[in-house]
Amino acid sequence: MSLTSFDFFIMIACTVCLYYLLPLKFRFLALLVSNIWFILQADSVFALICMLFPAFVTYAAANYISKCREKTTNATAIISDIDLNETNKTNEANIANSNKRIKLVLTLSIICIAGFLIVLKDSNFFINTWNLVAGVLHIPLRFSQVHLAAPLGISYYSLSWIGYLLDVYWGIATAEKNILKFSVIAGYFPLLTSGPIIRYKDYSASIVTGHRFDYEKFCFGLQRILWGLMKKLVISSRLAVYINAIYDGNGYNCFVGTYVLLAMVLFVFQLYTDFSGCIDIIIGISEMLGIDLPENFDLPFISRSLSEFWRRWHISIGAFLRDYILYSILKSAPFQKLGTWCKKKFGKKTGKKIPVWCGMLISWFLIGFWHGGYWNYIIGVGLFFGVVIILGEMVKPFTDKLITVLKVNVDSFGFHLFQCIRTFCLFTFGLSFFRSYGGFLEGLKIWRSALFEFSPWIFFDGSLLSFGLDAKDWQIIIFYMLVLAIAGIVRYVKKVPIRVLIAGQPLLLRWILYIALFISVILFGCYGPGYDAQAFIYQQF
Amino acid sequence: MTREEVFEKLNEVFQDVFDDEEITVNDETTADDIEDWDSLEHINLIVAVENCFGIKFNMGEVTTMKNVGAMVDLILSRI
Repeated sequence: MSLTSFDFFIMIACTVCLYYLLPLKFRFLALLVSNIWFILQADSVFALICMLFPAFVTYAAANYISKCREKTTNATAIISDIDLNETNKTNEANIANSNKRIKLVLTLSIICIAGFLIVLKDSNFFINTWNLVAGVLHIPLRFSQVHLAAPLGISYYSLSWIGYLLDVYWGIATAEKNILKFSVIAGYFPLLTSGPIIRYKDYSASIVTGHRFDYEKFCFGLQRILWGLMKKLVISSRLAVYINAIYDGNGYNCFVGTYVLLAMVLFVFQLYTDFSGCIDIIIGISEMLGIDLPENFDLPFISRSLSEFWRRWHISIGAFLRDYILYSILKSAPFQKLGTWCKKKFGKKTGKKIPVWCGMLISWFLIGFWHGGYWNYIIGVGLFFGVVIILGEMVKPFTDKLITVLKVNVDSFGFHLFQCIRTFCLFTFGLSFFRSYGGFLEGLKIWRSALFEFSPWIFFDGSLLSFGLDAKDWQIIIFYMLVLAIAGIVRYVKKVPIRVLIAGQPLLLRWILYIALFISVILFGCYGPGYDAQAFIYQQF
Repeated sequence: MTREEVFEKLNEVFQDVFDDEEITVNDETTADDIEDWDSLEHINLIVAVENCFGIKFNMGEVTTMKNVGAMVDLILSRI
């Protein structure tokens, strides 16, 4: 069941009706029904079973940790109240044992959830890597590839559940005792498609609490869904036609130069409209139900550096890796020792940065690996950006000097624009690995193909009309991209979403805009019988 | 140790980590107030504070500290 299908919208309508018909206290049950319905329709019974196993592990482990924590806290209180004696020593031993058990349960449950994810999604990565190493070392033992179907949303919910367990372990979240409520939060269906990866402590209450019908929020939700559909059906689906023609079937070997460069640039916009459009639909559905979810995009194209870009693009994965993985790595004893050694060897300033760079490389590798066990992902949305950011930090003292020598006004609009364009170019080149589906060498071939021939006349001689898109399609793409750009600029300047500004306009103007958006999706959207609606790109992760 | 003494020691830690003798922190100081205090420098700061006071923060505390005031509250509860 695609998020843009008729069946999906029927399901949403039924969910919304059932949700608001039930008494406040039981509204979460409507979500439970929808969760099961969605998984069965969008995937299979197998997906539901696959989800139940790690969900049960998470539920049981979180409650066990919470229970042990309560006992430990009580025992600590008793120790501080009584004098030193034998009972005290026994209590201390009990606390130490309890802490050991908590750590063991946490470790085993995380291994179980992450292991399940890796086995189902990335087995072939390890098999291929082993076969490669075995080939080089002339070891006869080889393995055939396995064909395991990763269930819907496993990458998203696995990370959320690991985060939830760690939050309970750290004492910043309470374990959900009600198994029905836990099932609603753990399997909240909009999040199964493309995230965002939520932190339980921040959003679980919003999901399970029954919300009263709020007309304004409901309308905002509908508008957000329409906005997302416009991005996906009007822009992204059209861009996909040209991009697929160039990238798939090695089209970049037949069409070289500006054709490929254009495909590389347009893929950035395709991915943005596809992924952020999907997130708009997810957040819109939740708003209709009164549920607040975090944003996953925050005007990424105004970023002046790659690190800023990744704080504005797919925000939830970056935040997850920073809070749960990077910080833990950097704070670990080996990294602290490395830091001390580096400070002695390279001086305080550089020495303290080296462990951070090593930690960043591990994190970027994991971001790429999370997308799938293929090198095009590990490089294209991982290591490439990590290396560029680290190189940027290394040369920063020189670039700062150059800026001073050239007397560049770093606060000027021109310099900001230069930084934004530079960031966009770096992102575009990294993403070409991501889209090449052929690993590092294929990515390099695309670069070579794009840069070694400059053929700007393709924009004027009608060449672009031979890829399945006619002049009207290109005009529609340009027009709606401009609409997106204007909405972004308004949001940047006014600091509020454009829909809030529109809500403050006179009734007539407001409704003209709403109807125009609706008609745009109906008239210019790519959907219906005979059209092969492409799945959202991030749904496959 | 009083709150004032904790702040006195914290000022030294901040000045050392961020290489700036001018830094003085208070309850309301956040990462927005110190130029180099980004998410990566945050860990160097946390480790320096831990070493200075002989305490350990858990990762939940590391990611949820809202300002220096919250950090001081945690330090006072541990020493």
